[in-house]
Amino acid sequence: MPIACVCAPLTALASDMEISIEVKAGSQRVRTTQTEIQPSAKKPHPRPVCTVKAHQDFVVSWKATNASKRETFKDVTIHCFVVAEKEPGQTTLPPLKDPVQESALWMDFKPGGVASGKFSLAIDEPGAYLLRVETREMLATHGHEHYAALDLICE
Amino acid sequence: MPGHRRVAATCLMTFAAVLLAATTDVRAEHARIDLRVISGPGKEASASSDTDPPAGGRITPPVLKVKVNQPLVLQFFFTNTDPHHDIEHVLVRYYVIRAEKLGRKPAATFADSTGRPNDAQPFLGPGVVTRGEFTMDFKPDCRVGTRLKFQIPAPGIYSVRLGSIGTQSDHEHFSAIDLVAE
Repeated sequence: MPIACVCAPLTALASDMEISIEVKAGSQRVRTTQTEIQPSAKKPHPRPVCTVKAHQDFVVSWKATNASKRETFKDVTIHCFVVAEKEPGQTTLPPLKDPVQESALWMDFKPGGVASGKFSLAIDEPGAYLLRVETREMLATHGHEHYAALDLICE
Repeated sequence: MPGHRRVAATCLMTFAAVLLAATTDVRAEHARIDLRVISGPGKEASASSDTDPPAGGRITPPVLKVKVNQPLVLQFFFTNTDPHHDIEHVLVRYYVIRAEKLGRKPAATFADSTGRPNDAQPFLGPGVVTRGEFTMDFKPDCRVGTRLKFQIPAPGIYSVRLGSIGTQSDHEHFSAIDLVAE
């Protein structure tokens, strides 16, 4: 019984909504390995870093999966953005002013349901950028949001 | 609009909030599209929904003159207005691609558009300036949108197009704008 009590919430956290991102820039391929939860008492894992060259095209792929076996998540927004940040790894979210790319879709996620996105992008200004894919509209109904993120260093 | 979505739309002054706040009136057509290319303050071209077939649609795409390497913004909202059906695995794709002529033209075909994705095939082929796609389940009033910066690298005519694939209907919806880069 104590084991069940301990394991149940961990299982629920690990298996509801999974988000992954992959960036292909030339021969470089960088993937996220964690779906983070927000709010969370834990410090987020360090973000993977991908280096891109200014004006050079790279390709971003992301996937959001409802890994729950029973629960349908209704009216979920999947929000993706690439926006300048002060430094790679910064823990505060940069303001979403003038993002390089921003997209969103809104749908229901049945058990096992998947949404995915893929897009090419080129960044003109050298600097650090945050690439993040996140859920919205789940906090009120589900208790937390989910996201995956990585840093882009544009040289 | 349910209460929690109204609250979210008020709080989030972002693109996602705009997507949520889009009007929800149901029309006879299956999709409502707002496609824009913005080249500067007050300088933009916009297009609404057309259907394919016929290949190339019925509406002549608006033309926007731009300059090579000028910062441009592509923005679209695609709303499924079919009030009756849930459809799984719909592809919504957009692209900016070099074109031979102005006016109505069939959708571009990409090497990786048929069959399973193949890493050997580049996502950006010759003549493709930028490109993107979403795979998602459609339900009545579901939406998808994007806003991104891009530039045209060389003089010529370019086609900007956004459309659906796989809606299990006898037609698909799309919207197109032509760019003339000097």
